[in-house]
Amino acid sequence: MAESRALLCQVWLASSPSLGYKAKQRVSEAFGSAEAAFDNFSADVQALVGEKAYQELARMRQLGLDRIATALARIGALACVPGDEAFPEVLNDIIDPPDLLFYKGTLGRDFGRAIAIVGSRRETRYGREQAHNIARGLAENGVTVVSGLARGIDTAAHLGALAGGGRTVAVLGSGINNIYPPENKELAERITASGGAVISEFAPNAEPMAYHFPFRNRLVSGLCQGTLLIEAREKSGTLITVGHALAQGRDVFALPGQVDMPGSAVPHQMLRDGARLATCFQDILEDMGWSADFSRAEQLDFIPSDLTNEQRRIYDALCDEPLGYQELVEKTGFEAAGLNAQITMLELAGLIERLPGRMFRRVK
Amino acid sequence: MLARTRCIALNGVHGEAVSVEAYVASASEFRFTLVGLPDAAVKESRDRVTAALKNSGFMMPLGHTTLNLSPADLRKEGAAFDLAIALAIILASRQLVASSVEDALLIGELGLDGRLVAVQGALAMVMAAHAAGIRQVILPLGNAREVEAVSGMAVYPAGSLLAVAQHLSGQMPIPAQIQKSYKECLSEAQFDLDLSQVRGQPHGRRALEIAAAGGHNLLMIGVPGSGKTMLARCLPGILPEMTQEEAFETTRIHSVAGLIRPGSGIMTQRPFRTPHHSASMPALIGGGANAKPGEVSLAHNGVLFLDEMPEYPRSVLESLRQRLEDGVTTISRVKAHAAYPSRFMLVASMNPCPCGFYGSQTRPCRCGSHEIRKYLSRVSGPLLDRIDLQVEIDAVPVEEIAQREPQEGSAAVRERVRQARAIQHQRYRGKAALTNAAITGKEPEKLALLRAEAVSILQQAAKRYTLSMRAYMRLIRVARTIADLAGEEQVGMNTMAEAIQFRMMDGKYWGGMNG
Repeated sequence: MAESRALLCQVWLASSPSLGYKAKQRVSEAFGSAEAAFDNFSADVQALVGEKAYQELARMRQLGLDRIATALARIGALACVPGDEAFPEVLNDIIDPPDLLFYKGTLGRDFGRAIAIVGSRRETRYGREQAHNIARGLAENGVTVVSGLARGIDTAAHLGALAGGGRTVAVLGSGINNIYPPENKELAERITASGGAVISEFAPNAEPMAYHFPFRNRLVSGLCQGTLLIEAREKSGTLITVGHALAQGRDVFALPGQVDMPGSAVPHQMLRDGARLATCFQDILEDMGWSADFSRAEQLDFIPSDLTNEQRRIYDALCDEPLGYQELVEKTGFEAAGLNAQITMLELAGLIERLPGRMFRRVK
Repeated sequence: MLARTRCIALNGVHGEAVSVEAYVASASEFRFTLVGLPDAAVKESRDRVTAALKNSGFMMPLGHTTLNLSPADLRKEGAAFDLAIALAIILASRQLVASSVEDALLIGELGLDGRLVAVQGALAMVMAAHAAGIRQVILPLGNAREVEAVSGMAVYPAGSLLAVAQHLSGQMPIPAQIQKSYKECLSEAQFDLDLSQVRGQPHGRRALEIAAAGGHNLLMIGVPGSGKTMLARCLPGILPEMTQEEAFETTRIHSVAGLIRPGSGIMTQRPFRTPHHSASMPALIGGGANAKPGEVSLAHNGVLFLDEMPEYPRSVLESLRQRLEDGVTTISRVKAHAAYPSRFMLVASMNPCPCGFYGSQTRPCRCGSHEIRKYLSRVSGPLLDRIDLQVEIDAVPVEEIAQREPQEGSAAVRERVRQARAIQHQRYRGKAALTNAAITGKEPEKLALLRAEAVSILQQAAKRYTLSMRAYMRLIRVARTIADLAGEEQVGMNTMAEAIQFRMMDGKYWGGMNG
């Protein structure tokens, strides 16, 4: 796709890592547009943006717009501006809307139904599982899952959406060509390959600066009709996302946690303050008024038929809650050797699974 | 006149026969030369010997005394040459007439008063001498018990240089020590900890028994205070005594390292070494200027216990991996080069995460999955691949510890372990490996005698948990040991199913949802 000259000039203006959002605006306003700034670039700009950004812009300008277009194509990224076919219209409603987005994958004017799932980077197993399951359920029902590609809950949400075969979008706090955290590079590729998108408003090679993230968060919430919070500690950056969501007039959901866990305090406070309770993806679909199959899948008391008596004893012992190995020994009366063998059989049959700390539970 | 005595120069645990040649030439002035690549301690023996001779009623000969330690190009270390040097001088200066000195090995350091002081490495020297065809040895009293199990050797323990001289001249012969058979050396050992003191932990106890029976490496993962260390410390109590061959090998290494206390006999219990994670690489692997054996060699035929494995430097863990493969440690230094056997059972413990409480039922874990992954990655996959048994140890609540009935003690378990090992010795007769853990390559599949249904369940598990080929072989080895413990000839379905519970902690289980 051949970008228009106006767009390439905007890309030029956005490619300076040292040029902040406000400074960029000052330049656009002073010249009327990025294109005008490119054409009439002079030493005066230095007064607007500072020396470092000025040097960067000057160097980039010397390369020429063609080189900028090739460089963008080489990293496989696209750019869009408000009004473009690819630019999500919903972002025009927010405060400080982006005037340019870099993206990989597929974006459209109509962003459709979307829920942001955000939460702690130091998540618990519970939080991770819930994020994964809710994201999957939402994805299966055609809802886009938006998150920030960070460690922890973000990653689980993206993976859950992928597992549900739906669309998921990651909004980066670094450049589009500088995925952070690095271990999620592969995840980013899976997201773009599956019909989703990875987007960033920062210069393509921008570092993940700490101040990028709170700013980026307005896009996470802004793209979505609702934001779900799963586990956050006090002073967590996810609170900023929630703040943006409220300022943007979007719904806020919170997932309850175990009351004595450090990551539960903030979601619980949110719930007390009026956030909506979300215990499963159906809760969200229902509250958003999105048609879905509301008949909650009843947990049928499914009893597998072809178990030996020994296996039945273990399976029955696990009916209410997960048990530790020691408790299983006591409840079933097995010796360690026999118990181990039967556990393997049940595991292989997919009826029970092992949790950390040698706990066992039924597979739902 | 020329006189010759014999002793042994050690290099690692191996020794070579050395002749001490003394020549006294009459001359008007006194001169003393010691040649033949002696180290500092050997050079100093001149002063010790001079004083010891005087105080034993002999004297340093006048004239030129030349001492040669032959072969001259072999490095000689330590003070054990004193006795051989002193006697060579006495004989060369005709202060004593003795006929059969050259048949005997002379070991001992001399005190200034002429008493014989115990030396390091006596057993290694005596074994080397035996291999070189020497059948008599005179050594310090303090080293006598160390060699009491060496057969085919007349051992004369002596207290002083004078006693040795009187023995050799026939004036006052020392009676030869009555050598014991290895069986007689075995005694009921006392252990600090007995399994009956361990409360709960059915899974951990079972893993410990299997590890002991098959010689498998064992990794215990559990929250702090769950009893990992206590379980590990019970291990010596359920391991069978060493065989005679093993006992000699192990004692020899400890003897060379100077860890056999004077007056103590051959080691019959397997060593249990617990180096701290701050121990240096030379301390663990061996080294130093004299290429001394490290913990991996001191644990030969026994157990090397690494508490809090991720705390050990990565480089140390990686070098352990090689020892686990080779069973031999070669140490090369500028001045020395030595090979020590180091076939040990690795027992390690670790917490499941940095804070220690991942998976705990009583305290929440405060670690993110990223931190946990980082912590676990300190122990590399290839090293984990060599640990057959990987078990989680769950914490026993304090109130339960008080309530529980004492459980089966170490003695009963040891008896089962002994029987399982006897079966293995029978099976692997004539092979390098004597335990299930030591069989490698494709052999486990051939030797384990798996029933069809055991293979089928193993294949199911391999598919479900995406087991690597190594993990697959590991499970076969463990299953074989479980069958040996039960006295079963073939590995059945339940046996294999139990073995699968000791599989690798896979990434899915710990690291998160990826994959």
